[in-house]
Amino acid sequence: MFKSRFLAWGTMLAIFAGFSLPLTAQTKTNIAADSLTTAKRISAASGRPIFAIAGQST
Amino acid sequence: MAQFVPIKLDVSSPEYAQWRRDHTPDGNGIPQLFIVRADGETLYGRSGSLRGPDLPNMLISALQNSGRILSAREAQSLVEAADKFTQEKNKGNFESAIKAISRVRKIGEPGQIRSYSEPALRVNRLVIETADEVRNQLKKLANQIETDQADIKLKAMLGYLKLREDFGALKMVKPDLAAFQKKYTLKDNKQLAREAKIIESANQANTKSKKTRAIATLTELIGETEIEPVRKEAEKKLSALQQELDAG
Repeated sequence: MFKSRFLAWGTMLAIFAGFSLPLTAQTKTNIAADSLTTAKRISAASGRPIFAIAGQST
Repeated sequence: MAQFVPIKLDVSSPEYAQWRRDHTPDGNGIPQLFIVRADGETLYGRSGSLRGPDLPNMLISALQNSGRILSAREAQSLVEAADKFTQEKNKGNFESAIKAISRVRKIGEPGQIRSYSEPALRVNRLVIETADEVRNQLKKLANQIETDQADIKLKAMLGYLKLREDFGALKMVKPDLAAFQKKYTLKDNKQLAREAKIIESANQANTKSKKTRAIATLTELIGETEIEPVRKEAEKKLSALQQELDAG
């Protein structure tokens, strides 16, 4: 079950990566507080909604 | 996807704990997907991945409920307009304030901009607050005009004219000002409204030629009016204008 959840999360991220994404709010390493803060700030400033995926880090 | 701000959350992090309190998902499994609008409203929050066309369909639907997305330039325009509006309004320069806020009309009508960004929400809030202030003032003036006392009626009529002068360009209050005009400046109050307008125009005279013209119209008004408070107010204004002109 853990493996299938991890695979599902990985699939979602692959779909994500398939689009052209502005990376200013996305970190490539572990999530830090300022990343979510940055995401909220960008969202509030521009009106763009946040798309968040929550899962377990590897 | 450039229309979203993507983020990955680790469920073991304290940030996720706070996030979950603010945006409780439907279900406890992982992964969890969230779409949160710019003003913090949760548009989507569920556990489980979406397969096939479900994900893009969900994203499209979320975007349709996310309001207008601003460019950096648009956002900056709104911030500047809101700052200028506040600054001018605090100085009592209402016409300048409304002119400043009206510059963002190409993004949306101020007060009704369909964006959930903070700059847009702030502009809307400022305009709506101002519109409410104008409406409250109109209610007070309406009560005063409905009295039998001529001096109070005149004061209310002058108040209405000043309000119209200051806020007439604000689209949100145009229907309210028009309704007041229709109800209170016609029929029985027509003469009072006409004469009050002459006094208000004199109040607005800010150049030598306008003041000179105002003195002429006030002198004529004083000779013609049958309303005692109008005569007194006109005489008071006439005297003030003459002093201003004499002082050079």
